[in-house]
Amino acid sequence: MPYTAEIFASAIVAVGDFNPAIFSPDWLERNGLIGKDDADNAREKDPSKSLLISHQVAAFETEWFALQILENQFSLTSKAALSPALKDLAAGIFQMVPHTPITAVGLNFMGHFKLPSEDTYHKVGDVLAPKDIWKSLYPDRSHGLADLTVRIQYAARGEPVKTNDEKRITVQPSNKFKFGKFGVYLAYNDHHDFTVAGSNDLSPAERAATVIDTEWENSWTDAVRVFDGILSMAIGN
Amino acid sequence: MIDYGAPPADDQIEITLFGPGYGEAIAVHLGCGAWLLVDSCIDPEFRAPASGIYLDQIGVDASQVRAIVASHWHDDHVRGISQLATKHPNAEFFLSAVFNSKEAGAFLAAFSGNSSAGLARGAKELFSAIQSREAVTPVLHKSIVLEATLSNRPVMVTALSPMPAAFAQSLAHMSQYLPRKAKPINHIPELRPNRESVVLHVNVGEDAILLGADLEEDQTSGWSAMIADNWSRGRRPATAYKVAHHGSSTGDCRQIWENLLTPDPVACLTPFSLGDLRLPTEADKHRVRTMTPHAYTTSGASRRPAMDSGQLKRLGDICKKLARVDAGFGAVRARKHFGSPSWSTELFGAARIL
Amino acid sequence: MILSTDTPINLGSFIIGDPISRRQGARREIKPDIRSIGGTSAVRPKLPNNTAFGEREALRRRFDAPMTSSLAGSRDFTSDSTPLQIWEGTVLNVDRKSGGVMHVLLDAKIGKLPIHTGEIELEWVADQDYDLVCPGAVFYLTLSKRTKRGSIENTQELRFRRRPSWSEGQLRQIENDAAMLLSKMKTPPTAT
Repeated sequence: MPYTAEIFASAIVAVGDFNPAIFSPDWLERNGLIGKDDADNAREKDPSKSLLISHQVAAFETEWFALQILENQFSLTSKAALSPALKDLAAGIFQMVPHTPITAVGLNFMGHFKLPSEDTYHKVGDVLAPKDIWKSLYPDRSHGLADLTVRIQYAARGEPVKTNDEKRITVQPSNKFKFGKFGVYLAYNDHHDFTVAGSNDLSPAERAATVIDTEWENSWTDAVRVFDGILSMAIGN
Repeated sequence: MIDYGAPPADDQIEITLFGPGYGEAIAVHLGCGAWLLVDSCIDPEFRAPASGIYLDQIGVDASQVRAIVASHWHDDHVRGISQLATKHPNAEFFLSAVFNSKEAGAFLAAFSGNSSAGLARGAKELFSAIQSREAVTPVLHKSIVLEATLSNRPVMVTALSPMPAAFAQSLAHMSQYLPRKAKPINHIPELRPNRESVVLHVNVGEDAILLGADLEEDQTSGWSAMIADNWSRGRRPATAYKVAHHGSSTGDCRQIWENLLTPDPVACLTPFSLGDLRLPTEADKHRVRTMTPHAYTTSGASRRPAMDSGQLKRLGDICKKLARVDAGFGAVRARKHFGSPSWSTELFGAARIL
Repeated sequence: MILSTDTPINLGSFIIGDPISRRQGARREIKPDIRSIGGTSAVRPKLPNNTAFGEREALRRRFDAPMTSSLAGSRDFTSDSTPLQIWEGTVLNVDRKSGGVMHVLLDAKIGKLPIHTGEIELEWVADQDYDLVCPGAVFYLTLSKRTKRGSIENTQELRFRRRPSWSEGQLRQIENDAAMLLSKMKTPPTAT
């Protein structure tokens, strides 16, 4: 039985050299990337909203996404229900700015999973980070997994790494469940590096758009497989 | 799992039509273990091309497929055809000559998924199939697809369509959707009526089969234009017919039955249902049955939604008249020995008498 | 490139590992000593030095950027939903008479469900998407479960795909691909 997250979201992050001032709700609407209602939503002068457009930072939200662009980073995160429209928006933005130097794109999927009991919660930590070594080092203290990240590279052990693309899987306790409930937070990062020129003549931004377009759903499928695999192997089916 | 039994004998001709309720594929045995595949659809059990599954099951080696024909680019006729093209690298690949043009090439390229995530699945399949080959052969009226002598019998597979007059209209349609700078990325509705389809005449010794693809009637470029040509009328009348365009009235005309077929041929068709379009209609079935008593369909199963009750309720709150597209997978197989007066027909899976 | 942050990470009210401190409900803040090299996981950005203090504070208050840790994701994203099923829909045809309905093809993104057809009334389409409804248009129908203050509610969202114009790079790719296709065409013999 596959494990289903209580909360599941995605973030598309890019590293590069951006001009945040151009990425306003008006610009997105004018280029057909978001609709009028979303643009109006982002433009609302509500103190609880986050509209901020300057040369150093662009940040705003709608009901379904939060966009934040700094001079060296782009981040588009889902809010509310996750939809493939998120990757369409990210790919669409990069297609509109083909000359933007982008050095990497990350496709991220994050989930908070509720666990049935405290024992199960500890079991996840015990399997992924066995406590024995820490008990021997600190016999009179209590220990627990706070943060585990595993890096997966595209090469067998001992062989040279031919690409800077990689995946990173993170496990942390979840901070979303209260009142005696326990949960684990899993994050999946699929990192694509563009510092090495591609085989076609696409610019880095066009390459980023293509990667997002073609790989986002694959990464999502893989993230679900990995999350389910981690929990299954740690807890059992 | 369907048990298709043994392969045909060397001196048997065979036509097998596969249909999952949305989609169509044909496997033709030309004798002596030589096969022709036309179009492709997916077997829902194996999630792989149905004709490929069939040939594997009856023990046909990949090298025995001599030709693969994509009769046109619509999704329901080419699902999995790129996999067939890869699986049978020695088989020559044929497609409508409409695609031997700059506009059509750009059309396939634009909607292939290479430069923008696939907007038209059929275009993507055809593009992938062509891309995997060193060469492909565009065919039109009078093109020879395959010519051979098998067991001292002459085998000739020829294309009866598309007619040259069909090209201009098809290319004009595709040109509307060609990408241009600063133009929005649009989706492509299918061109109707379909005039770019490849109709095949298969002549094996003294037997013949007519494969009607999705060609529709039109005075200048459809069935009647093709049959008006003396060369077309000179083809050996077929004793088995894959009914054109899912038995629709737009894919039919009397001249087909009077000029290209023997009386009471074996006729088989695949149903088609998408949105509010359901083929064949009851009137279509009646019309085909009046032309031959030997009429069969690959599928007639229930189209009830296939999902758990929770999902069905959630979806049903928003979406009405939910129906499954792949309404039961079936196959109609007809075999006869060379020179024998009649076909032996078998029905597999959801196939039934029309 | 090094992205670093000097902002403390809040681990939230949930304390890890120590049953005693959990019972006490203590809340710890940990100041990270982290270097992240070109990471693309959801990170809290370094605020530019020349950003006005007021702007910096406003940013922190109004837009709670994701937390950072060494190339790891952030737990504090604002979503409160999980998708149960996402249907990618294609509009087959549209009947705009009397309220309007669109006939659609539905392809499930989660699980291996067969393709279905159906009808959706146009009142389900957001005003901003109405002009996008045409044969061939693609939309996403997300059916999700939302957890809010301990209660669970079912939500649904129908959103049309938006594609900007074809880019120069795409047009170049298409031209190259079209030339490749044409180069493979050969002429068949003709019957007499």
